[in-house]
Amino acid sequence: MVTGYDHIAFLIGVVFFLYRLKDIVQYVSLFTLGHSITLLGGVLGGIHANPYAIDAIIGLSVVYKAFDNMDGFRRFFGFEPNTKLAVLIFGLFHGFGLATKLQELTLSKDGLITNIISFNVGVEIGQVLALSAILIVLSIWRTQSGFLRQAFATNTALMTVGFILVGYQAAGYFVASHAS
Amino acid sequence: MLEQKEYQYISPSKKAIAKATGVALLVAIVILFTAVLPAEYGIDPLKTGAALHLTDLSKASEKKPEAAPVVAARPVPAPAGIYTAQPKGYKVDSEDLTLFPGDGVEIKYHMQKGAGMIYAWKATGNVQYEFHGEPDKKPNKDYFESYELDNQAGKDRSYGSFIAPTTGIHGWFWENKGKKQVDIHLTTAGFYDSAKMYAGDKPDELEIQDPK
Repeated sequence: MVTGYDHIAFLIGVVFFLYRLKDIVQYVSLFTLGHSITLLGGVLGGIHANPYAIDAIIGLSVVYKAFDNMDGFRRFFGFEPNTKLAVLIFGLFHGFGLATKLQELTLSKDGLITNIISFNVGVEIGQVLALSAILIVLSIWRTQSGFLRQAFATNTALMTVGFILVGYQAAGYFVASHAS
Repeated sequence: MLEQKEYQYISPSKKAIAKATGVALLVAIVILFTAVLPAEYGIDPLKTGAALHLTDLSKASEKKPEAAPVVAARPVPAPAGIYTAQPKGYKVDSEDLTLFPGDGVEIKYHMQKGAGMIYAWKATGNVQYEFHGEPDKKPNKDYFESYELDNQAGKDRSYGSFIAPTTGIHGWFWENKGKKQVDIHLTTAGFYDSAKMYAGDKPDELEIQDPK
């Protein structure tokens, strides 16, 4: 998933009900911290996670966040998982996904760490740009009277995307293991 | 926090959340089987992929590896440096040299910059040697460039290929530092125009052959 729309879907879910820039920076930083750790560790340690499994978990993270945004955890289980912890943990998985993808490219040993960091910075810039666009749209949307009603529908759509990602990767896993 | 109040205010009912989750799952399954699987993997259980021409997408990506060799089979210009054309044919030479203990001898070939030579020499015992060259235009009389040097244990054979880094004379100096006589047999083939042997004060011109 070179385009990284799964990451963006997750981040949309994360920032959906965040209003203050301070909170947004906090959550996005936690996510970045998580995926930087596993990206560096994964490439340097040569860890090859199954890309389908990782991408399926990333799909699940989208489902989780959409369900959380619907207030599903409090309604059904009487508690809300610590969102900051969840964002960090899913950040770690997203990093593994990136590490696996990066290792599919041919990497020279020269300046490997510099390359990984550059790659990471590039991913970050891309995410910040996409998030900025999303935030502008969200900010305008929030001033509309129908926002809260539409928000529920939007999170349902987001959850659908998450489920599709899970199914897509699960199917990919079976196709790949049958082929080999 | 104001936003939390707003959030709780609209907090949907259990029923609404369950319904939304069910709808999301159902829609995801439908999209997965009608569009994603046919397009990505060519799996088309409901034949919707064929109807929407989505299976063509997966076929297109499957066909790519087949198309690749056709592209590769087209003649492509070789990268520079793979070969170097020469105006004249190459020459061959073979020399038998005898070195008594303490003796030294040198064989040098005159080559243009970039010209190639392959060589092989074998000796009956270890000899110290230096593979080196002297450009025609050198900054001072004693100037030379060393390519390979073994003045320690020495060797009894060496094979290789060589590209002259400068226009000038290129070759070997052998020295027998042992206590027994050593015979060296050298054969070369390459784009050189003359060869010289240095054993005493004056160099001897060697006769080089055209290849048979």
